[in-house]
Amino acid sequence: MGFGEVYDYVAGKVDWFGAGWPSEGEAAELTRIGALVDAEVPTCGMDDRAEDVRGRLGDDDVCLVVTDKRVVLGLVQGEDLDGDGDPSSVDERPVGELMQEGPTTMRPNVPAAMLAGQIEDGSFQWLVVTDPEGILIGILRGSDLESWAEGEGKEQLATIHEGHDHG
Amino acid sequence: MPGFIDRHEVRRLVDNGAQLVEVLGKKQYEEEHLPGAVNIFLKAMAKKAPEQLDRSKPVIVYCEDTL
Repeated sequence: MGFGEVYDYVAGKVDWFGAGWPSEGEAAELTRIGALVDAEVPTCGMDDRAEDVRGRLGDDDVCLVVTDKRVVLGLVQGEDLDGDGDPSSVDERPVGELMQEGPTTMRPNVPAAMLAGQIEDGSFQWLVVTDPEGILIGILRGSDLESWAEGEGKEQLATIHEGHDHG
Repeated sequence: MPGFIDRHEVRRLVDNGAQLVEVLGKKQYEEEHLPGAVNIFLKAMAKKAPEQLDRSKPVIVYCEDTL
């Protein structure tokens, strides 16, 4: 066809939207879970001591174990660091030995209304949100999603239900 | 033979004037597409590309994903 410089973006839309990058079109105005994420989630490295990480858990009872490029490797919660009731027994151990490996993650482009419409209130405390390469974006709290669904997300949620009713 | 690129390279090329082409159907394109992309259905590429695209600028094609 005579085009000199042609490139193939093989990963395509799934990759682009999955990274939470901007889009155009009829669905572009939908609120995505990436907009509801808290990026200030506690993180630690594989070699950090359990005792140090225990103090970072906070109200969400989670610390994400990440590489220096923030790729998520796992997570730890209070129960992972309590040494079966004797926390001091694991104080010196690296969290990489205690973490829950490969947690379930979601991409930031998932429509918030779609997720809110599929889950029961209170069914999850939080979800880990990463880009397609597994780089941490933050956590989505169930309470934040519920607040959104009961407030500014009402209209989008109704549209989703309408689509299902007719579809 | 096209060169394979990632999204960071897509962004860099588009910032420098490259043309983005979604080769999926009209419905999928209208629902959501990359910013600035035009829609040329794959099967119509040979006919429509010369009409709609500038030969002097790089062209980036994409679809849903690698599948």
